[in-house]
Amino acid sequence: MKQHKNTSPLSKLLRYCKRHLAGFVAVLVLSIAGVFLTVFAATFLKELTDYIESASRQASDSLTMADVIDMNVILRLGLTLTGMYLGSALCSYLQAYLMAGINQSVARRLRTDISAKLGRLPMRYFDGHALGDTLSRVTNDVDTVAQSMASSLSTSLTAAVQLVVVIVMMFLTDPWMTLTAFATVPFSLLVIAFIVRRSQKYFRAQQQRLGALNGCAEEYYSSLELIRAYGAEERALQNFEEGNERLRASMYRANVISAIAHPLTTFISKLGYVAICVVGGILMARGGATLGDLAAFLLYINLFQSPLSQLGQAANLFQSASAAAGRVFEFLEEEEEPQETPAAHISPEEVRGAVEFRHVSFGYDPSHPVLRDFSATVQAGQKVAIVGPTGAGKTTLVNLLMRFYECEGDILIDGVSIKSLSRANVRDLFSMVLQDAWVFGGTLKENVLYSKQGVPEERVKEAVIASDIYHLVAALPQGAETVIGENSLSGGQKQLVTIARAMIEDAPMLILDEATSNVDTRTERTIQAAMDALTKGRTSFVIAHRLSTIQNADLILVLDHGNIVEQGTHEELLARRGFYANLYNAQFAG
Amino acid sequence: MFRLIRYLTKKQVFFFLLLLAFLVVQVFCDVTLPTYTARIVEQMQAGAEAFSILKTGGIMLVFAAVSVLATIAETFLSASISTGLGRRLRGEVFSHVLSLSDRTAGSFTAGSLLTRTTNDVQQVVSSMVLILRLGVGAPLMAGMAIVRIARSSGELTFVTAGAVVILLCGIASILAVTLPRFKLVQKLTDRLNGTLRDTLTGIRVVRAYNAEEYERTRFEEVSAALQKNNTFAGRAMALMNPLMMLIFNGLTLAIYWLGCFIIVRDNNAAFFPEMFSFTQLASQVVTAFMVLIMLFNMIPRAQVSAKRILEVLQKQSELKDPAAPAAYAPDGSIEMKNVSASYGGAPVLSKVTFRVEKGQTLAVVGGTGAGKTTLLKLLLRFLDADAGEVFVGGTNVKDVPQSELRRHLGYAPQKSALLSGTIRENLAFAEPSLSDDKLMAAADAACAAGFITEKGGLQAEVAQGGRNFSGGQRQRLSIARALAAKPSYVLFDDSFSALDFATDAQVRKNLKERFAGTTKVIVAQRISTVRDADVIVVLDHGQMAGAGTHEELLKTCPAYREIAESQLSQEELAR
Repeated sequence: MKQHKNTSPLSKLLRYCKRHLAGFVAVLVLSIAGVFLTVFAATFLKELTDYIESASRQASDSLTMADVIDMNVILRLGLTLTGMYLGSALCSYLQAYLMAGINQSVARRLRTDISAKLGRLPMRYFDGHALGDTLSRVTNDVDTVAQSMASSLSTSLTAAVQLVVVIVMMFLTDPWMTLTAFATVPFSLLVIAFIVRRSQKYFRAQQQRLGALNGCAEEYYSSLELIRAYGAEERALQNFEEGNERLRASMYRANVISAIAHPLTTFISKLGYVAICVVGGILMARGGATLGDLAAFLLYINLFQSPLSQLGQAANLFQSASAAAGRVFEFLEEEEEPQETPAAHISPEEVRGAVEFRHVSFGYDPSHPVLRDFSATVQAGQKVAIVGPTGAGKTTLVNLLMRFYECEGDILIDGVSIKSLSRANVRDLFSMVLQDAWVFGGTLKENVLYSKQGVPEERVKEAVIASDIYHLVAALPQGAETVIGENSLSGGQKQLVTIARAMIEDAPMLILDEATSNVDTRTERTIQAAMDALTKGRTSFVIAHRLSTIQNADLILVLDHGNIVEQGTHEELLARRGFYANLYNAQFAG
Repeated sequence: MFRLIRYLTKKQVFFFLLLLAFLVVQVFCDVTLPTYTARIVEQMQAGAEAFSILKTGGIMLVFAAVSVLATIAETFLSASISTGLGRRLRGEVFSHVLSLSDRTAGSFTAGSLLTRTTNDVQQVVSSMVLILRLGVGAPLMAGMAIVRIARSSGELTFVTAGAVVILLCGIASILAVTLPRFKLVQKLTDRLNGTLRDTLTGIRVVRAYNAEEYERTRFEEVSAALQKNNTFAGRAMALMNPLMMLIFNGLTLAIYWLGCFIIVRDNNAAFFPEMFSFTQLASQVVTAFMVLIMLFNMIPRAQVSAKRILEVLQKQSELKDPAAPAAYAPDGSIEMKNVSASYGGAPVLSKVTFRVEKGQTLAVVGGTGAGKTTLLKLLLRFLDADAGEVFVGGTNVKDVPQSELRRHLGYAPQKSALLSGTIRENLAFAEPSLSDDKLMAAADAACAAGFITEKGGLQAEVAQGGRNFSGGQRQRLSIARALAAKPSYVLFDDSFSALDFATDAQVRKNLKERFAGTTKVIVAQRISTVRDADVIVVLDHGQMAGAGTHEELLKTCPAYREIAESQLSQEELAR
């Protein structure tokens, strides 16, 4: 899609519809057929009216209505009309049926592409974009695109066809009445143009003030504690009410101006209706038109005016669809992670696990480096604890190791630069447990197995026992098959599940980023045993704030301001009475 | 939803009655118009002069104009009612949220409160006024049109009624098929959202496990089900329009046919123009019913929003102010007697007892989750104790109105939240009328005067959440804010954690010297911050592990000694 960056979102959307070309053609054909049936039905109705009218003129004292009206003729015309109405209903149903299918299929493909895109975006994207925003693109925006496309595409097609056909029929029926009908159009357009221009202004003002009020309420709602403590309720309310009143005023204007369009255009169409009655009546009195002409015309003018307003609505819908499509395509066109051409491969079975950081520098924002010229060597099989104050770059180090971000300098595993490996290969070498224990909506078992396929039952059982979740499994109503979610487990339980997941993954190296922070001390001891088993013989990186976790590390890397300030074992570092000892005093106690 | 009607003011109720009056006028005009169409047809048939046709046309225009004017008046009235009601409800929700306690407001997230305050109110108000207006207008229209038809022909009334019945049955059966699907679609949409949310929140895990494909499959499953059900529902709904058109057209045809029959039977040619106008009356009846159906569709959605608003409005703070409070003159002491507290579940604090006097410093130490913040919340009366008594200034906090109690307390919360505005607005949060000198004095005590001057003084801008200040600067501003109004008590919840040791010490020195008469409560992690306190309360998982001075606790409290030993060198301990 990249080469199309400058084209409009709507034309990009049309490319998504390309494969439904046949469907669109069918919709077009059906809509044309439907329009013709509707319009010709009006001419048959005209014939019917003329027949009754002329018959009733012939009636006199000697001829009763029964003599002049042949019910068979009426029946024949009536049946023809019934057929045409049924036909046009069928056309319009099939058209809507097809469009529903096309819309949903396009919506689905957009969703699929968005979901695939998620896998290709660099981590940076997720740092800089609010979750709600991305979510809203997938559901609200895709929905809007699908819905508006449905209504606007098919209605504008039908409306345009109908407009042309009706105008032709109107001229054929009577040019004078046609011109009368046309005379009202500029008025309608003027009114609509006037109102649209005004209402856009007012709606913009409304949205802006709504945004302002939202911002005000958001800030106060997130500082409720402060407001209460300082007794600032009155002032907060006063501020809010000021914005609230401003919003009301502009909403009132926007409401009135947009709601007034409808009665005004209705009035103009009624004006046209009356004018046609009058002109038609005069023509008839002069013998220039029949009552049937008038009856047909009154239908025509409806068929003429409704597509006009439909086109107006479709234009509105196109705008919102275009805005939504714009947001969707903006996402789909976000810069992706560069394609990789791995020069090397380390298989998880063969890796020894020696890791070297060589002059690594990195910043999420280039002007604020988090790691500065960081170097360290870790022997295969060592247990490494990473400690340091908040913001020292501990988690960043892990992020780079997992190649979530690209850094300056180099990181080597068994002497091979991770830049020459594929990202997937690097990640295959590590199991990882994070502080923010992540579980997804699925069964407990799915959560533990995760993406790993074909794990023998034995292994699952081992992991369940080692990670201390067998109590949990026993307590859940359907055991391991119970559907769990973000809110159905406690923080500690979730963390245990993620630990079990890491055990199943069974990668040759291990990263624990504050993995036991939400677990109480008793459970932690259980897990610690499991972790020790897990870390035995594996190179492991542990970020922890609990003394017990750090103490028995083979190597402690002390980070401050993106650099290693000290390294060694717990005893060595304490004896040194340097940064670590200080930090340990300030941070870990309590 | 209609419980929200009581928030209408008298003026709005009057406006609504006025609106109904205009509605009657409008509907009357609309229903009368077809009669004049019939008269024009009659005149045409009779070959009347252009002038008389023009005259009838003129009358029609007058009716049309009155109808439009009435509609415009309705528009103004309903806009005034709905926006006024919207404003009122937003204000009600907002002020109600401010009146809620920690515990009651905490049952909603800030985001959810926000949606309820703006989106939900908008949803309810716009549909409620529409429902009230059309709910009256549509039956009125249908009724009047039917009366007109019935007045001249029973048969045609019957046909019209038949069409309405078919319409209702048709739509009911379409809805019966689609509504369950729409519910399913709603559920699937939620699941789609949930799945994607999972992927986004766990993106690091997803990447770490190379599980992009797995996540895509999970998403695709829901997406496919969504497509299937949406398509089905969409296709069933596609029946709606053609069905309505068919009934419209069928009704016109039936009226023609039956009309002919009546003309022939009664040998009455004069019935013809009337029949002509009936087709229009009949279409008004059908339209009215379609409007009603649309309204029925709107009600459930509006109801959901109304429920969400009422959920907030019906929450009541569990903290009650005393009915007849005595004058409050705090003596500077703080005391807790056997206090236990919880947030509804397991106790967070149990059996806490201590006392400090005016001007003394109380320190609270303990690990994460030990109950330190809860202890402060009890003093501020953000929370009531489950058992035991809390005295601030010699009076039980339950016997003082909350606002009166908090007027005497300066508080720096753990999250040093700053509000957007100026530094002045933030520092003078307790009392906007405080002089610049007093504010700068407080800032100086909090070691914040330096960077405030650097930033351009008290008028310098503060971004939302104080993002344009560093963590340490925010903490110092927060401390200054607590001190600015010279309260009898100041409460610091871990407010020194981002300060370096030197600043920490300087601020504490300032507090001691310049706020000698102020009772200070300091929650902290560092032993060095609390060691000089008059009373140190040690909390361990909600239990009180000890209370006393640094020296006493070193001797008597193993938990405290453990913390102290881990932070201080032997020499420091011995000092």
